Amino acid sequence: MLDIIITAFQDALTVQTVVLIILGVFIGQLFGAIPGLSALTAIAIAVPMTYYFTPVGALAFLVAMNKGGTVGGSISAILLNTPGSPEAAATAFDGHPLAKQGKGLKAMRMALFSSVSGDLLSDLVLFAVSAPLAVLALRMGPTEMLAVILFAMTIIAGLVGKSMLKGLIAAFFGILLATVGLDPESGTGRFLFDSPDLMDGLPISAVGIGILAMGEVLRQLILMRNQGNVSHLPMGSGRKEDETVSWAEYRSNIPTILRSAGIGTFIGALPGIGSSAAGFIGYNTAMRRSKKPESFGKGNITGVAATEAANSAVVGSNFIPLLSLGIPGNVAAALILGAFVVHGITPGPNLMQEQGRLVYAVFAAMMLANATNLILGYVGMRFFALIARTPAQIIFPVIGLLCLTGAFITTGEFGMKLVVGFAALGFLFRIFDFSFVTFIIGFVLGPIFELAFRQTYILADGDISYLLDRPVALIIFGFSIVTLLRTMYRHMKRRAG
Amino acid sequence: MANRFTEATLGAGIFVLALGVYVWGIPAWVEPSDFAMIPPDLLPRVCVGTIAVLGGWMVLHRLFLDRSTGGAGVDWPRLAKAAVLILVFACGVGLILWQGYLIGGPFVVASLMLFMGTRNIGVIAATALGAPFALFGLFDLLLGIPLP
Repeated sequence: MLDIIITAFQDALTVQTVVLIILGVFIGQLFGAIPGLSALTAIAIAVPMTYYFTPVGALAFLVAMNKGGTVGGSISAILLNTPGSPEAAATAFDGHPLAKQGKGLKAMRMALFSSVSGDLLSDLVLFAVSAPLAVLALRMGPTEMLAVILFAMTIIAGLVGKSMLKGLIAAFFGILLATVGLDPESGTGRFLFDSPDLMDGLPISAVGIGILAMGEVLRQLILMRNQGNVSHLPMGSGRKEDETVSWAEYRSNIPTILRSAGIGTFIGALPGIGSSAAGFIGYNTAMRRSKKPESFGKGNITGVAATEAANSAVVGSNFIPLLSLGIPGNVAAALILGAFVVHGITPGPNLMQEQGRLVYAVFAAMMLANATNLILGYVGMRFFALIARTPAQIIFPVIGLLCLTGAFITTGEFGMKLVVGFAALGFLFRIFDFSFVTFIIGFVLGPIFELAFRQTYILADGDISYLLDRPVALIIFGFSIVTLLRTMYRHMKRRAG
Repeated sequence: MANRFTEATLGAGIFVLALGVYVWGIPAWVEPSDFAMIPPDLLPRVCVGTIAVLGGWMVLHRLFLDRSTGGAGVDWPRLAKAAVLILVFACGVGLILWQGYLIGGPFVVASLMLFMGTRNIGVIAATALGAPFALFGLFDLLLGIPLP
């Protein structure tokens, strides 16, 4: 075993691979930090370029980008309340309030440490139990997927904010907008309004940029109007404890990080659910387990740790179905699958036998990418914090343009126009106190919920007793009901109190 | 008090809008299918129906059940400013798509800076030209992602 590890690191520690890892992490962090863009965009652009690299270098480059993106996404979520990527949306819930208290650097450091910790744990699981977990993932049929998604959707009830009515209206509105496009079963059109652009549905990037980023930009533009040459974030207090994460603070969050990493690893191993759901589940679980759940959303650093550990853990484990079965776990893995194909490698059950050395070299490169992510993230934080402290009258107009640019790059002219409309909607949500968080969760989970529901319905032929043959799904359904009832009880208790 | 009535009006608006979509919008814009086991309009109907019920419940709740409910009042000056900003963004998008990124981009940045209260022409010019040109250089020239 030791021989394999040494050989893997020897293969990964070539000049080209190391340079590519550093470059990949840097680009990933940069793209992740720009609102609207994400590591996905960077990976999509880079896949054709990797043809000129060695197979290990190419895969290390793309994986490093993916890892860098998760850290980058947290930066703008914390500093600007505009998640760089959808999976960092829950990071903003507590990260931005911390930044408003002058503890932005502390929040970013906790995000970095928990992100790298979650990622590392997920990578270790990938190395250790890749094959058995892949078999388990393969046994998760549409019914179990439906149960997991329903479980994720019960989070909506936990994040509705002050008014459950408004939170639920926003959530159902999100699910409604997710139905725009072609029906997944029959292919008939829904709310197309004679526009071919709508056949693929409303692009998530345009909706996300509009509601989360541009809505916030509009709010800040109005809030900071005529405020002179000031930043939207207060100066740090200068106290060391407000800028650093002590070992004691990190240690107290280790159970949360481990739990979130476990959630992220499990979700990452299931094809199609993605890191956004993992982030929300990780956050909600931490909130429910906390002795002070009311402090979440107001600047509780555990909220940052929980989200980042969960969404980063997806990065490693989504390779489990890819490497073992040839099934990409999410979009990033699908793009990386393209790089495998470019180099004439076919992921699947025979990969370890045929290309074992390459796979272990990629594992070693993943470890190096984690270390690079930690170092570059740590060094770059002050730089990003400095940028975020640029006077509001400069930074928000530039972010506004950046949002439009990001929308054009990801979704073209149509997306750019949509972003303006969704910015208005995002602003109205904020003005009238509707939860844009539940809206986004509804929008993201709506399509996968509908697909899994239809598949289950067809498999069951409309007979509900079919569920009795799916014990795993039943257990998860049970968890969902308990979570929902608990959340409702807590909400009522809070209101009564 | 005013907030309670604003919230109730908002709930009533949501109820009426959702009802309109349920009765006219869905039949008009969701195509039927004879092959699907689950009709394509099921999920939209569930969503819109639930929104209508929740909107109606919001009216009752705010008016009769929980009189302490505050919620946000309508801040008209703030809404007017938001409308101006949306207009600026819409014009900016139009200009970007019509005349190109290097014309529309500076327009967006400069207009927003003026809105924010910046009056220093040098700062406005440097930011309004610097940011779009830098982004254009990064994406279009360096990364080969074409911008309009």
